[in-house]
Amino acid sequence: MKKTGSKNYTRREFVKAAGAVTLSAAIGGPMVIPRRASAQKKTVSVLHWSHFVPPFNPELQRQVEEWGKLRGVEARVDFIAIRDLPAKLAAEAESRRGHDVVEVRFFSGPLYRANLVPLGDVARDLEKTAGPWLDIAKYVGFVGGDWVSIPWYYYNIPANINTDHWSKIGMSSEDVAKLTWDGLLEAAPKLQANKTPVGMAISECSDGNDNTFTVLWSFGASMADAQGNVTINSPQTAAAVEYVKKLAKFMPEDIMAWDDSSNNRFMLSGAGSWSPNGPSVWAVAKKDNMPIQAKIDHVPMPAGPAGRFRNALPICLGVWKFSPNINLAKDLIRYLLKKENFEKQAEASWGYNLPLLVGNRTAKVWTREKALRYYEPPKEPVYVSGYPAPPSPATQIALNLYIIPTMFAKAVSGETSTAKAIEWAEKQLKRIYAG
Amino acid sequence: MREARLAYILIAPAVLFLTIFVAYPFFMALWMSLTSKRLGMPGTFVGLGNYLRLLDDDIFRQTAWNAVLYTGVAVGIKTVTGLALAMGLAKLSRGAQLIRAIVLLPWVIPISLSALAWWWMYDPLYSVFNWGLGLIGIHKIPWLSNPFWARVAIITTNIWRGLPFYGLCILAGLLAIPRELYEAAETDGAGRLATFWYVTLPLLRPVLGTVILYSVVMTISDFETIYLITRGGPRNTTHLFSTLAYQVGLVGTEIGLGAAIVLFIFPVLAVAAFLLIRLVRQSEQIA
Repeated sequence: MKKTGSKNYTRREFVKAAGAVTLSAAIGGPMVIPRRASAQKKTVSVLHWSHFVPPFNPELQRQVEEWGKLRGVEARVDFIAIRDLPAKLAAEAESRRGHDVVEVRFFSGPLYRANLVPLGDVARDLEKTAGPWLDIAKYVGFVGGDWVSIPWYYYNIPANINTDHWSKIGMSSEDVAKLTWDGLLEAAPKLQANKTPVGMAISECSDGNDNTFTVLWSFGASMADAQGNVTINSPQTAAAVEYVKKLAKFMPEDIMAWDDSSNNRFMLSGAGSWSPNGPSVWAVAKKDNMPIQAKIDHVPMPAGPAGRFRNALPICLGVWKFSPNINLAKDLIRYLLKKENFEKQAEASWGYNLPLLVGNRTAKVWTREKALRYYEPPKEPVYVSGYPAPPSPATQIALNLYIIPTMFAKAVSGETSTAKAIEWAEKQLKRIYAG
Repeated sequence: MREARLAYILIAPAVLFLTIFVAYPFFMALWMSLTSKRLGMPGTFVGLGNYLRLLDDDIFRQTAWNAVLYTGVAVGIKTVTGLALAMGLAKLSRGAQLIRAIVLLPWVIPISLSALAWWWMYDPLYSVFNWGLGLIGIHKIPWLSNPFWARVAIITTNIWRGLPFYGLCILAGLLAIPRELYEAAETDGAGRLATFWYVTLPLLRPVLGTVILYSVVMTISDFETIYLITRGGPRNTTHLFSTLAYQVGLVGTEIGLGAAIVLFIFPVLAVAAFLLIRLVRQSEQIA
């Protein structure tokens, strides 16, 4: 080694020195580097799905930020794909970290009841100013003697029709609005012959739940009763399944692979004549100035032996118990449900969002847009998938596992007989409701 | 002594990482699988109750069969075609580097993107495959709504993605075989098939064993391909343990049950790993 003013290090010494420096920095760094004095505002965050109708998201963001300015806090909305919402809620509940206000839909409120702040005070205040609550609001929001979440808005599932295709077989929108399921079965072959079939998802997706429950109700069948006794194995269920087996012959073969966006594409492409869906098809066509917008109409779902029903998807807001801003979160919820704010939300959603408080039915969009005349208010009874089963974790789990659409799919595909498909569903549901 | 101390210091971060991100979650999952825990709530100890419940559940039994079928078929096809690909790549002279880089592309593309692209190709309404079949007068295939075709769809996607890995790993093994052995075999009058069977294959066994073991582990625990293309449908006929565990444990919040679902594969994989490692060691001794 040359003798110089500085020492020559071996590789081993260098590695040891580097390791020691790194370790010291990791342990001592935070103590040495001064922290900025904490003068940050509080931040209230909201978790919401990314709405189908594009203008809604910025309007919601605007309202939340406006509220934040009024209260002297930072406020933001995080939008998430609808499919990712259940896992996100699960992660937040388990880690006890996340947003202050979260969207809970269907029976996620009861599912996470132990982690959510009771909101009875908020519900009573809102009822005084804009009440009463619709029955479906109380069904999902008021559980076990208290409000576990605040019902905010809902959307329902009418039949989307292409008026051109129906007029070719001599039927107007008003004719389709009065259809029974038998009437649909008569029309379906004619529409299929014109290469413009009817279609609905009978698959493991949210649409699959919505469609099959609507059929069950109209045949007088149910998954479970209000006490949680499994009632799926009944002649009424068998009649519903047998009906769908007949109708499915006139639908596209792949309805058992449809996801929540498939029927939207089915209708927007012009290929479909009829499909149950919220008004998102019409909204997208309107947003993109598609010619098909003028042909899309919404009519009630067909009636069965037990009547005509409309499926509803309520969106509620919950506040996590671990939120450091519980009172602010409650205040934000009250703000969002104020009449004038809800009206702006309804307009921004192009009428998609429907009020769960009767007093919030002030938006003009539902009377202004002809295509929404049957959408709001629905004249037939409105139920949530799962009804009349109790609003409980078991009901939410049954929906999450798509037991009912799978039952229909097993019979429709010929994998099993109708009786065996129903027995399978009964076994699964009994296990779920037994806990 | 100093070297040993340095060795421990250098591997300490890796051990810490494995302890925190592998061992801890594993034992946590093991514990949860023995409880009735739901997300956000504590659970009670139920022993093997979750496992017994799963054995009685036909969705779980279906899933187990799906996993065996998916893994067996995909790994089998990847092994045979990977070997063929490697042998083809070994013979390349001009442009070999470029071609090998291109072959690697499916492996390199993020699985979420490639799975979405495959999903579009299988889409019930707009499948490009069905469009092509229609051009030659063949009736469209129900790719995602029929259990058989849905399985074909996901297995094809898995093979497409995994084949480059097989090809390039086996290629490395092929190129390491001494040329003299082939010359000796040729001198002894061995034909192509005999050379392959008696020279190439035995010397490739360590590489093949390692690649197959890795592929079995990765294939049986596949999540993205199933989640993005079929979501376990139609009618649970393409669920694997990971996707069912996600549906039950995260979406359904029954995390104890979800943990039990994924842990079912642990003893199976442990046995598979033991057998394959033994095979590799025997092959190395022979070599």
